[in-house]
Amino acid sequence: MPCVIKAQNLGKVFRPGHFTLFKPKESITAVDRVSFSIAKGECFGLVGESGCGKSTVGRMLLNLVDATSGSVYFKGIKLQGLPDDQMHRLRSKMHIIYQDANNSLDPRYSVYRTLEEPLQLKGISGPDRQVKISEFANKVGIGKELFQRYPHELSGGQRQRVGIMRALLQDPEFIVADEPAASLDLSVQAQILNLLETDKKERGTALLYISHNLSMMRFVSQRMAIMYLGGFLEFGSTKSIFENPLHPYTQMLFASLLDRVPQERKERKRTASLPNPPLDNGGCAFYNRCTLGKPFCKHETPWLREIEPGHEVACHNL
Amino acid sequence: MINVAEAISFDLEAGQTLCLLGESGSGKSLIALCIPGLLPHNALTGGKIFFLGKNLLSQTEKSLGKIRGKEIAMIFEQPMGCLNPMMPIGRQIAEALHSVKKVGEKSWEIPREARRRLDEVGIPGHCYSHYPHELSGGMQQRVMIAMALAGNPKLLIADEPTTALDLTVQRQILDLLNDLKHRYNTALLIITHDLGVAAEMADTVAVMYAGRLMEHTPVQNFFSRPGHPYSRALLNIVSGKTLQPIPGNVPNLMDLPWGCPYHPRCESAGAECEKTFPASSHFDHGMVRCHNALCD
Repeated sequence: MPCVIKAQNLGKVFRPGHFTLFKPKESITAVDRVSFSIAKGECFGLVGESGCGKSTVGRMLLNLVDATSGSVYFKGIKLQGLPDDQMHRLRSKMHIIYQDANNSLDPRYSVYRTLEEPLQLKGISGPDRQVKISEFANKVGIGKELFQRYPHELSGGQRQRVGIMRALLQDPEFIVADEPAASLDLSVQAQILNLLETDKKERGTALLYISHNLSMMRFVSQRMAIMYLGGFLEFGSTKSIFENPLHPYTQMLFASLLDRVPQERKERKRTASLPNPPLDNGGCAFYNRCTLGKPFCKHETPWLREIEPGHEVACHNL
Repeated sequence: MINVAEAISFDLEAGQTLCLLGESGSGKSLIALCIPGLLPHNALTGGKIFFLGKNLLSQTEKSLGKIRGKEIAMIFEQPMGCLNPMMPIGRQIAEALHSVKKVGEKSWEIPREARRRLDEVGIPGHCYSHYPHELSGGMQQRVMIAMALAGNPKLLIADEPTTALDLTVQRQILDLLNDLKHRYNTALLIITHDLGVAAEMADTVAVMYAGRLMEHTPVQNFFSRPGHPYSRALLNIVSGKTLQPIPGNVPNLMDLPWGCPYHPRCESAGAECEKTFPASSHFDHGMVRCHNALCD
């Protein structure tokens, strides 16, 4: 499968802009040397708690946030340092779907106008736009009666559909879905995810699916990575991670998934401890929450190692 | 006039947990607001809510004020919106303790008690003078819980207490709620759309759809032998190899279908379902409202 997007040693350091006189300027490493690639028709999942940098990775892939280090290749073209006009042309090939569908739609544009605008910018004529929009509306499940409504008149699921349809209308080759279904009901979530799945199968879109919800990953992604404080802790096929989670953090995430079997509630062990602020002395980021932590974990950074074929883990204790 | 909730009945005993499950717009939060009398003035309510033998709907505003916060407390989804951003969290808890102070309790003991309460919900003592924005979402929710429990309430209503939190933090908050429930023998009403939360916390589960109570049953029965087709469909979504969404959408409350509101999406709907809303019938130690529940 040809690789659509590739990230190499991607890193991002945020420096607070405000002026400090007596304290040294603190910088925050949001993403630390992350590498992966997504093939045509593949969905790559990115899981982590809030604040681990997963959304920053998604935005860096689209060049919406400048990477501090490393590079992103879209079909072999390096995005960093690309002239604006060329980047502009690539923009219609790659898209993002945000979690908050309400804020990503213009409150003063009707649904039809929202959908029409990107096609208009591409120079497609009015009648052609109409044909294309009604064809897609059927697929996505937006009835014609919604066309003249405004975002505040739609339900959360309908809004998210409009957001997705706006992205799909431009035939993108790569979509970043940043928690597209997190704020929706389970049944609507399932509808939205099935929609992305169908599009991926029909047109071979590459998809980066970002979520903090491990349980949905099983249904959408083929490969996934577990992210913690800016770095990957575990990386591999979704199947092997679900069958055999190796990193203590991944195991902790699985342990905190709520079972659907109420009888077993008394016996389960308590794993989660209070999240602590990150260490910044080069050790394992997960050290102070880890159950297997050895003294040297505090000082030596573990790198991703292949434990079984196609399943990499960053931990000293395996 | 919109009929947002109709013919809802359930009971809850001390030390028990009831989970009110439903999709957004099913009216579950309205029930939560209705109990302490927090609905807006243009809402018309009928029926009776008995709390320790008193009918809450016939109480005056003044006597409700004595119940709110002391005997019935609430936790909301967004803790940041409920905490005062200008006041350290310790003082906010002290304020809550002050408002429920009984005769004979010394005011100067309250800060110490507030520290103890913070400790109880797992926040270290040095955070006493922190402001809400300095805390993470999970910590803020802990502060909310400490404030809600200030008056040792008999009933704690938690409206989507963990929806905005990460998985690991969600687990901790649920564990904390369970611990405190046992310690104070509080009745807990949890409003959620997450089946996992229900499996984790509930003793009984009540399922709402379009403002109607569809099923009310012990938690084991709900997960092993759900009576209502809607409950079955909810459980089926993530149980298979692929996602199986319920076809169609939640109906608009201003334009509800005739008969059972679920019948347009129901796989076992018959002719009767389009005509009348089913009366409640007993099913497996619980209650279910479906014409076809007993045939299965």
